[in-house]
Amino acid sequence: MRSRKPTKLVLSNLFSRSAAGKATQDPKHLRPPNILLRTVNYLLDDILSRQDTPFIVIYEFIMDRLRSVRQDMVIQNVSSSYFISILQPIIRFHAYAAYRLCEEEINRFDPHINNTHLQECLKRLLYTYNHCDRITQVAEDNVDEFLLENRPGFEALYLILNLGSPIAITRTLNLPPKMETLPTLLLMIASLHLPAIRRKALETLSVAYNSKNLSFPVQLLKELLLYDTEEQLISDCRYYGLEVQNNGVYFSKSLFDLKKSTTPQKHCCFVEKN
Amino acid sequence: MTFMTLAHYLQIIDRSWRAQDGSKIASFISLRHEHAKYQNYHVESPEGLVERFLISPIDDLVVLHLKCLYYIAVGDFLEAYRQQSTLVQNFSKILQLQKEENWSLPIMYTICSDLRLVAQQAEKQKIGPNENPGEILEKAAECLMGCFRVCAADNRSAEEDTKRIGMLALVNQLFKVYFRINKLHLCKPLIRAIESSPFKECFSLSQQVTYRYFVGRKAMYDSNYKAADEYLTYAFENCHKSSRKNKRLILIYLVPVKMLLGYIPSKKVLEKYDVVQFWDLVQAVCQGNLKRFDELMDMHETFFIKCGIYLIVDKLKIIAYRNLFRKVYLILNTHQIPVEALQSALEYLGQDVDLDETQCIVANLIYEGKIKGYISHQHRKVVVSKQNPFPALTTLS
Repeated sequence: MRSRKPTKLVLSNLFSRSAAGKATQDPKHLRPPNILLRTVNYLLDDILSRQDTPFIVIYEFIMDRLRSVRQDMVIQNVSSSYFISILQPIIRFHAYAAYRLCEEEINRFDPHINNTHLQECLKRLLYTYNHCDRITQVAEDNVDEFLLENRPGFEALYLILNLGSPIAITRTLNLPPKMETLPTLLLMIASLHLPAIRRKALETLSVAYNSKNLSFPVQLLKELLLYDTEEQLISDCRYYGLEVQNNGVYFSKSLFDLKKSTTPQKHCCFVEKN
Repeated sequence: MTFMTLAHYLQIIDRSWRAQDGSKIASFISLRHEHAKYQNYHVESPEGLVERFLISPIDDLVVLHLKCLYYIAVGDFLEAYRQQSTLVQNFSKILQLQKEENWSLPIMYTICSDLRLVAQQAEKQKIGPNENPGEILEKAAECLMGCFRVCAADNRSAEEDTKRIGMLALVNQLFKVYFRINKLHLCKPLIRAIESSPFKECFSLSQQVTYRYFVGRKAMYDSNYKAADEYLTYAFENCHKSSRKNKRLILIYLVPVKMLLGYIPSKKVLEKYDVVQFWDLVQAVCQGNLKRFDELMDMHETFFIKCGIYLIVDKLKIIAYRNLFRKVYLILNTHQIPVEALQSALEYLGQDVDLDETQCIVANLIYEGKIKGYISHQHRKVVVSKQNPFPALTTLS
């Protein structure tokens, strides 16, 4: 199967659940933090970029190995700086996968499981950031700047991932103000909310533009709701029960089908362009 | 200066324990009672003395209490927290063994509330490298849950002796912790336990007020304003009139909720409870003065965020839009309002919006039922109903 010959043999630990009667805690099998970091780098630099295997297989492999890294990291409670350096790339990986694989079938990729990992890592990272805040306050000893330089991005990721959650918004509002424009990774995660936002928008418009004779131009609606093509928009409108004729959507309060579930997540051109 | 001697103090506790006088022990084991201030109660190892006066199991509780006082006196809140936490844990075991009796519940109320207060102090003090913010409070909550389980599981006792009557006090303490550490999702099972309790109406009024204050705030965060109004109104009306600080706290949440439902607070009330920050805002909303609204949001940003109401207050803007558009409608005196007219009004008040965005604002108002009518995109007109196009907000569901 593999055409490429390995130049040197590289081994990476498989994840295994801790269970009663199993000696997972054997310190001899724990990898020290610098090795964990090297493992992460190896997985995400060398393995992730491989073109000879389908991405879904690579994803499965990397996800499993990263999980094992996290397990080792938690057991020995590595220092904050290692927590940050190890978690940041892992979070980026899971966020990237959430978007890249969003059109995949459920039996090949489960967005819920990926999301659970993403949330878990992200929360641990945010805790670590908080912890650094405290150290800085108490010891007046500055944590290395480079460890915190990505913080705004990850705080934003947490907020966007949990759009609409009062807990996430409370956290963000209590942070010192320091925000930038959205990098690509955040665009990707934000775009996953689009189907739900579009549904809400179409529902609102169906009430506000409710009319038998008047229509709303497809072209404009496509731009407002960030659709890539008019066909996509038309198909969504019809899915929710709205009529589309002569490049116009006929909004109707009574025809909009509230029972229809939200359309599936899709890749978007404006994200890919970035 | 000294209070009564330690020996005298121990005698009183002994007598009260034998007489099953829960309230008396509660006050004498409280960190906030007068005796706590006096130096003769700050004993590092009180075991020997206590054992001479007290029988098991109360001796153990008093030892822990005195140790806790000692560590508070020397300023070590982390250690004080540990003592108090052990005290609560040991008490919950005693409570569990007291079948068919609930006279000791007042003790539980006091020590649990003390535990939370000490935990808050310990939070401020901790510096250990492995501790996350909120961790001590979270542990304290677990400890409170221990007591809660004992109370909730007591379903054999007769109604007058049931420990289930103690549940609400614990739920309130847990609410205080969860709101402080921003873990609101943990409130849900507690609310369910209280709402399904057969003693729902029997809890003391003060506990009911506290409970409804927190449940009301939770409903507000969940955008359930009708319920929030109900809970917070109950809390405000039943809160004792001398508790001005608490009434003010309730009002901070009740005012925005009421306003969202279309009710305007009177200036007198806002002044009385020192929340005048809202008054200018009330006026800006009523007048539809969006420029002033934005300025006020900027000015009071810190206050609103600190109270956790920034986003709720921000929602009042949609009411300001409604009032502004109503004025445009009255001035033009037509049922077909040009979108441009609305946009000019918005621009005049410092809102940077184009025609599409103006339509978006109108669309949301129509969707929410605040304007009756529809938008014609082709004619760039908002066609409003001939009858009652801007229904009173209080009539909307």
